[in-house]
Amino acid sequence: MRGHGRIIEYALSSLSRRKLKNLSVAAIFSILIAVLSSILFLMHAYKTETLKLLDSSPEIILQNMSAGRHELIPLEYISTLSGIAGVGKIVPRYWGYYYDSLTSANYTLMAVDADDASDKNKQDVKLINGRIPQTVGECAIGSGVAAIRQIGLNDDFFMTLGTEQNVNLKIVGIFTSNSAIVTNDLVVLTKNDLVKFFNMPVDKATDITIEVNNPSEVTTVARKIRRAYPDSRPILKIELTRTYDNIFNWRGGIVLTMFFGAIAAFMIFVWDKATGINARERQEIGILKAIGWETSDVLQLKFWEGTIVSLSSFLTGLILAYAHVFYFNAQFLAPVLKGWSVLFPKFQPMPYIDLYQIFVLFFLTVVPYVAASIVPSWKAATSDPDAVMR
Amino acid sequence: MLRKSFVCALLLVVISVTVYAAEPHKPSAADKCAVCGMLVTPHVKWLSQIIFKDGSVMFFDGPKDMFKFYFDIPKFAPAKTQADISDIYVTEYYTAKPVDAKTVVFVTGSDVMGPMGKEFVPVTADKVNSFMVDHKGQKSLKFDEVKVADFHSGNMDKSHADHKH
Amino acid sequence: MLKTKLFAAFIVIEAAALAALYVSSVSTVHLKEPEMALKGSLVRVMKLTDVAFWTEARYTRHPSQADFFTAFQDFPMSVDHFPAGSIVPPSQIHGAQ
Repeated sequence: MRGHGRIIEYALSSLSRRKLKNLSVAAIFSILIAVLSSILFLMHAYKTETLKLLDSSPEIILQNMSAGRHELIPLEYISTLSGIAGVGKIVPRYWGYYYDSLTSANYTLMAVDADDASDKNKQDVKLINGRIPQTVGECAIGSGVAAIRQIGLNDDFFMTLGTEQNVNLKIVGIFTSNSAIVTNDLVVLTKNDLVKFFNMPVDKATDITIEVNNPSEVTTVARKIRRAYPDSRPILKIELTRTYDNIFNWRGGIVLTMFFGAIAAFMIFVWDKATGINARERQEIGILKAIGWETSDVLQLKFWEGTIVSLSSFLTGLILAYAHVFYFNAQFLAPVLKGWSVLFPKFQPMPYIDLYQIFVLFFLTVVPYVAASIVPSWKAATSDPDAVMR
Repeated sequence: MLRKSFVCALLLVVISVTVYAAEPHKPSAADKCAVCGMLVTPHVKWLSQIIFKDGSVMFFDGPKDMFKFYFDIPKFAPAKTQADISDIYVTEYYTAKPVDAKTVVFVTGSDVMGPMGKEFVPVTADKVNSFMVDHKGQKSLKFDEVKVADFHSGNMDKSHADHKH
Repeated sequence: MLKTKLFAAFIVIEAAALAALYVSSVSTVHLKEPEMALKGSLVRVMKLTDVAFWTEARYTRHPSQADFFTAFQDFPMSVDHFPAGSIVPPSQIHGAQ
């Protein structure tokens, strides 16, 4: 038996003898790890932040349905809803979308009601340069809107839906870019402006938010709402978080495709390596055995060769992925994520890391690679040295 | 002069009475149920408390344990008696806020589970009917109507129920 | 043993760098907790329900509010208008319940 140190030294020498081949293997391996863990890191960071933030969403949002589609909801529902046991504050929301043909971007318009007592605390919103609009003719916009329209505080902001439906607003606030994950495309304006602009009937709102004091009572409240208004659709917070859980699930959608594409490519690569032990390697094993190496020594040598390549590539790939996602805002993944979204938020993802994912990646890549470097050598090492050297 | 001092005395009485009615306490992360020993902060929706006249407070992870304590104070706090109690607060089911236990109704046998299983669910009087229907409550009892026997009715005491079958 | 030492040094440096990155990520998350709380209160008072990633359509801007269950969102066979449609899968909530 030789010491591990000597075997590692020999493994390094033997790797450096085929420098070009091994370096390119390590480079491919590193890039593969970097791509996979970039996706995992980014998705996990987005998902964690989104779920944490949406935990503050309303307990129940009530939509009215008509002909199977979302409809404006009559405000008269509120008096019935407030009679349900366990229901806290009920606040109607006024919001909608506006397609800005100038920039070909969609904005989300959202109303605040400065006269409404329940809307008063919106004035205390931080993370805004300036303030939330208080009177008709004012608006606050997300940083994405400000950037694409190239406008700033105190500038005018014009929106039109035809000759009758126009608003000309003064920008009194711009949401800070670190809140862009939820505010990027927002245009916040007063209720009166929004109702006038969208020409909404005065006795209707877009939807109604319902607070439930005791979280365990939410499903009962939702059931009673369905009973009172069979054509309505209560959206519970738990459904909301489940929706996002699905979207950012690393097994879902494009992540799955890319992940399995990359894993498949890697498996082919490993398979090729495993079956393709060439004559020279075979000969080398034969010589080692002829000069007195045991089979176990040869296997140790192959184990170390595999470990050296895969471990250093794995670590390099992880470092690259971390830097890519959390220091360079996932530049290379952004086009994939962005799709056709004109207003994609620019912000630094919060570095939430899931160590479990890293372990999974380790066992899916490093372990098969090491196994694949040992197994074919096994056959060569156990056969007669004279036979393999010939 | 006499009138002034009378007013002063009255004011003093009023003030002392207001101080006397203690506010519900907020438990710290280390506070445990005085009956079962479980931490109470994970179950704030069920938090119950008994405040004594000397200002000390006992927390419980549900009204059931509060009643167990109330009916058997010598077992859990030998130094105290029922007469030493100044206030009892329970967390009302629908508002999730602390209320005086004397002002609410306790519903037994419902399908709403507390941290210790079946519970005496505290509900304000006007919501009792809707609670009984929604959660299959069996009995609704005012604070003074709760008896030791109620622990054994309506599957309240799980070990007892198991024993029966 | 020079190569072994070099290699060991390389692995140790990489592992240390990764550990440092992990520590920095944990501390960043910790440091930004107040900012997250502010964002949370923004979501609460503005009653927001969705993240502003994809703005091209209702069902990508507000996936939690959109009527995924509606057949033929805009016209028959028009499920995936947008590249984000490949990232936003159809909701499974309604089928599951």
